Amino acid sequence: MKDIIERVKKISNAEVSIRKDNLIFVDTSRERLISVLYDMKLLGFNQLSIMSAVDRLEDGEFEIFYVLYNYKEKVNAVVRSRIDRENAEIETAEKIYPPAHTYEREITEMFGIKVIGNSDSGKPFILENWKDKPPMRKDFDSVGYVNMHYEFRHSADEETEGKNE
Amino acid sequence: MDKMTEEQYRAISNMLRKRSLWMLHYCTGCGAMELPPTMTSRYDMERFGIVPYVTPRQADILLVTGYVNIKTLRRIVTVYEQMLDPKYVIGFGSCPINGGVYWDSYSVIKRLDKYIPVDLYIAGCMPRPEAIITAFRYLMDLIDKGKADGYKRYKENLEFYKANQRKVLG
Amino acid sequence: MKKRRGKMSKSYELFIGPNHPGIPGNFSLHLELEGDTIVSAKGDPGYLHRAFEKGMENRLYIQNLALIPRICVPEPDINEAAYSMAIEDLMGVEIPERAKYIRTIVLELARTTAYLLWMGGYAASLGLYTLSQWATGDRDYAIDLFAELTGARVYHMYIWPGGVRRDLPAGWEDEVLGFVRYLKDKLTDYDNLFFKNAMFIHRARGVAKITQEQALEWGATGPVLKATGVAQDVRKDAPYAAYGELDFEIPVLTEGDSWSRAIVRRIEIENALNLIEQAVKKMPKKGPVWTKMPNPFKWYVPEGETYAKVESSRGEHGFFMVSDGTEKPYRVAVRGASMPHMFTIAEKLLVGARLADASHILLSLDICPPEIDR
Repeated sequence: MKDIIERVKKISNAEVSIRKDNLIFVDTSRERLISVLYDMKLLGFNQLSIMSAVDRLEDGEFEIFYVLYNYKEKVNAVVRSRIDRENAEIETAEKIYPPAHTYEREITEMFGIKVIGNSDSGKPFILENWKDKPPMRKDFDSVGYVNMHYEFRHSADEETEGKNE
Repeated sequence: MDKMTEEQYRAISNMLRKRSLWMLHYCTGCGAMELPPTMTSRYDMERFGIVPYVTPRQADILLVTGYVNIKTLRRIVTVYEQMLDPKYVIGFGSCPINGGVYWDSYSVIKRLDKYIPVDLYIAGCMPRPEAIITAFRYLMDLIDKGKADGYKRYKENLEFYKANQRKVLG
Repeated sequence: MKKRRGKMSKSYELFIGPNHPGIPGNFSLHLELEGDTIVSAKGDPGYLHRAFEKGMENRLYIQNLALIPRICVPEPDINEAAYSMAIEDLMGVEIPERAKYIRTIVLELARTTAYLLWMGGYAASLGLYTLSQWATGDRDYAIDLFAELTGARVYHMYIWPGGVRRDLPAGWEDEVLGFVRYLKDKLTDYDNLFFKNAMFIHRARGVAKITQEQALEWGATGPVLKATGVAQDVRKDAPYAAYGELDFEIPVLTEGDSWSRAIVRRIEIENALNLIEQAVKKMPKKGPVWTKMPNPFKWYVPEGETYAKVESSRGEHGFFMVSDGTEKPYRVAVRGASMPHMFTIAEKLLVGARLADASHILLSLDICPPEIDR
């Protein structure tokens, strides 16, 4: 077992589970999320690869994950935490990892999670003039939306102009 | 050469027009990956008189390469209306025909010819450079016969196109 | 009526919009300028958004293979490789030896074509159009090899979970070695035309400089990080396919500016060609190329989460996959290398640069818009 993993286990309020010898998962609660990220950065996990969310509809929760990388020990660590689905909000991690600023803009737009402290969260990022619910949620039906807003072609030589239904 | 009839004038102008079509260099989708091989020396399309050009005011062909997002559709309509008559639109790949691989995506439009008039489609995902050059030859043939009249249809059915655009773009 | 006197306003807004040959792909930049100098820059993505991550949840695992090469258009094989590695990790499956070497050859050929395409665009942003004609022409020979192996020029769908799809056709290995010899010869011509050209050196030295601390802080990977002195490469840190058995070195420079990034990429092309030669010689001559997988309609992947990454020509390319035991993925998140490069690095580097360097900076960081929008 690598020495770095022993040191990660000593962080308070963090449960470590090991998948491979270079991929570990660290679970924590919402309140301790920022302090766990800060402790991980002090241990040498100073690169953020990706940060996003998973919609756990049956549990009524969102699962936020951060994939971190430690170059000296060559270990990836995934820090996970569950937040409530109804009033979903987290604090920004951009002071610890600057690339998180852009990923947080994306999860606000795609999942509807509010990010406190991020000045650009809430502004349109990838979608434009979007009025429906956030599209990556599991209760947004993409095929239903398509059938309501677009039409398909039914045969090869269909007349286009003048027919509007 | 005292007086030319209408047909003679049209025949000469079509013949000259088809030999120097300028293509707008706007890579709208993933089909644009096969444009560099077509433009450079292996499948040279410049020998037909077709060159890529940057401003829409002086271009003849709008090449919609692949799928069209809603955000891109607004810009394509603006660019199409900025081009001067006569202008032609070619739909590339299977995505402008019927949505293609992205049939269930909420942000890709499924039929391009409900929003702007299309003269020609090229099938494939993605079409080979030889297919693109064959399509250009076919377009030159249509111009000769006078059948490539998408721009006239746009002006005649303006209400139809504008209603569809407003419905999807808001 | 008061006459306006004094300083006239020099600041204005400029959109380098989606219809522009200097921007790599369909992407827009909102700039505020004062005279010729950029004061602030904001990127505007979303023109290529196709909702891949939502579409992947709606399809079987095997149907997704037709969808994911389109995530990164210049180099589609990295998506298939990372997706297959994630599934193999969740299912606990080992792929045969010969398949590992074939995957290595295909990935290095894809890296070569991506670098040749990048070279064409980069030189064109500096005003040299000859190089894009040469590079696109040579890239076509590699595309011919792909067409013979997989049947398609651009989107191959050849690497899939369990190995590769079919064995090599007869005589393909000799053609690959012939292409490698031809391109190694041609690289001296490219050097004389571009990389040793005094105007390129004058234009690119000292432009868009980042230090090592800034690069690590702002999330850089790939050639952007290697040009600042950090030898980080997924092929060495977490070897996949056959990279653990092959012999290569990571190019590292220390200046961190536009010139050193271009030289790092130039050395990587040579590395890729050497790796292809080694892999063809060391490959086992016979053997299976695919581990048997279940019937596609009953292909249940065990529950779990994993992160699989490969080294693309731009940086680290990763797939985070969440599976819930059914035959469709529950959530797939794609990490493209261009997202931190554009929004965290380029928006800061563009401030203070001249307007003529805007497209040069974007191409020097190798921004690929389809990866950002997904």
